[in-house]
Amino acid sequence: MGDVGELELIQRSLEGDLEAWGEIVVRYKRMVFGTALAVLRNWADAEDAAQEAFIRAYEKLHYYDLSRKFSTWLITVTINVAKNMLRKRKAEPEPKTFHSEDPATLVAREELRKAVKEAVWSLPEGYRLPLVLYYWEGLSVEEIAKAMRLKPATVKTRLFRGRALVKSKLLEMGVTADAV
Amino acid sequence: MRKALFVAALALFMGLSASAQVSLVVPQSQVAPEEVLRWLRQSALPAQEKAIWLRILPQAFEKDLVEPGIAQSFFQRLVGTPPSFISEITAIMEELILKGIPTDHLMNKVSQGVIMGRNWSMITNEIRLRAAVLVATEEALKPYKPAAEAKAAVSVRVGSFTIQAETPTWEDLVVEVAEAISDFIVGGGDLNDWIGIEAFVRSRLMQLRGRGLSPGLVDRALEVLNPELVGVIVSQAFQIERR
Amino acid sequence: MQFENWRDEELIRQAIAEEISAAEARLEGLEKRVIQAIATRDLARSAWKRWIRSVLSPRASALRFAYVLGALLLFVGIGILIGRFSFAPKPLPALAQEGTVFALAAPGAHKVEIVGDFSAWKPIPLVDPDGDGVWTLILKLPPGRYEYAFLVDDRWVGQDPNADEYVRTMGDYTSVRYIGGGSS
Repeated sequence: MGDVGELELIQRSLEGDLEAWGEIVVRYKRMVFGTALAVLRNWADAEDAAQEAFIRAYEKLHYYDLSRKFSTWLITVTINVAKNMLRKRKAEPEPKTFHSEDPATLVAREELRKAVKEAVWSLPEGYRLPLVLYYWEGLSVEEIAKAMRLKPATVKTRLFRGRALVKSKLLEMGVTADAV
Repeated sequence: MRKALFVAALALFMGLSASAQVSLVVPQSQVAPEEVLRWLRQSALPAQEKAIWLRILPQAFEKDLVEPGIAQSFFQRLVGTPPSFISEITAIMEELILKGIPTDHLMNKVSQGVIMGRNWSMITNEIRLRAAVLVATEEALKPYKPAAEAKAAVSVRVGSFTIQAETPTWEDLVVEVAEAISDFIVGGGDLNDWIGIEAFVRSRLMQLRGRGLSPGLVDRALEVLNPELVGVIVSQAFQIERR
Repeated sequence: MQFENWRDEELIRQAIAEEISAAEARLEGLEKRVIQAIATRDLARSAWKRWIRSVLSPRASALRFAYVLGALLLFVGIGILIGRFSFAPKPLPALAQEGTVFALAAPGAHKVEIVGDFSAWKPIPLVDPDGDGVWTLILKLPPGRYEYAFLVDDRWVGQDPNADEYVRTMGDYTSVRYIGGGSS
């Protein structure tokens, strides 16, 4: 089924062909998981959300407008599912904080990578999600805006501020500005 | 509101019109064993496989391991498939028949695979898997076979292509247990999830209680069934599979 | 989106990719879990719902007029039918007692058949004499468990909305019906 077009897979799924939907899952699971993780920040929850998102999308497939980009629509569904899970989980767990004993060691490449990772994943969701969609999913600003139901200008601002926040967090952790 | 009315109208209309347009069919094929053998002799099956089938089929019919109607349909589909496929499928069936294990349902599975248009290796792989699970199940359950039943009721078989499921046999039960295990695995279940497999087999047997299998047989099976026994079957089956 | 420093972007990209890729193993077999969950979620009901909803979906707006017209015709048709049967149409279950009803809505199909282990997978045709797209057949089957599927214009339709369960075999679904009361 590897060479079957996306549109055909979607149409076959609409007719109830689960095999076709399975192929859609194979193609988009990394994207959906990444999106869910951006919201939930927890592997197990993101896995549950990804599964639920694919089920929800299948059930709502007849609402999908074939003229729209499928991946953007699927991301919107995923964000909704993940945010619902977040709401059920009530309070978002405290971001993991990064404690460095010795700022000097942070200059080492490995430590720097760790620090950036920590900084990115402890960003507030509103900044984290656009960053993941932009850098991981490779979505354009316009596509992120559609998926998150925001204005493109807002997305641009969030991307910019998200990046600035990463930088300031790194500074907080003791990583020197030069290293970034 | 308009949608609701439309749906209601549609449902009502379907219900009403359905009564006027159904036809009644009894899917029963009465084929004599001799007829199948005669057909086989003149068939375009490769000579080597034809010889094997002509040798093992008469006793298979006699022992009720194969139902003539199912066999005929199976051969009709087998003719025209690639020789390598015919030889592999024949080898699997021969092994089962020589062990005295019913092969009706596996012949049916082959027919199903062909009509589904699956590729030959996919069909062969699944048949091989199901055969391996069947052999392992037969062996694992052997110690629990009720002695009295033994050969008394071998006239009834699984698949119910022919009628009368009043006195299902131990062999039918073995086939149903094996098929449930295979369905679980083929359907994407975890091979090592013995607890899950056991629960799946149990629910299948409960469904069959009093319809495909007699309550007594099912109860006996439920008594002896446990995850460890499933483990024994699966481990053995997949040794065979990997052979 | 202009960033002043390419290295910053690369670091962020890496940070995100690492975290997501580390969880890759969790995604193995996700498609199977999704399919299983969908198949077991009362598909019998939802398939019908899906079909009906797809007929009524906003996407079909060009056809909406035709549907409204069709609905009106249906009402007229039912009126005539009810008149003819004088409020006592023969209910489906009465027929079902003589056998098992297999029905499939396949509007526009040229040929609908059923294949199953009860016929050694030889096709038996369904009929739709009045051309309303609902194809039916009654089979007389002894008690037991039966695996079957429909062939709609030779295309495998393994999920009958009226099935008791589905099994996956050779990469596709097959419907299952349990016939007879059973005893527990």
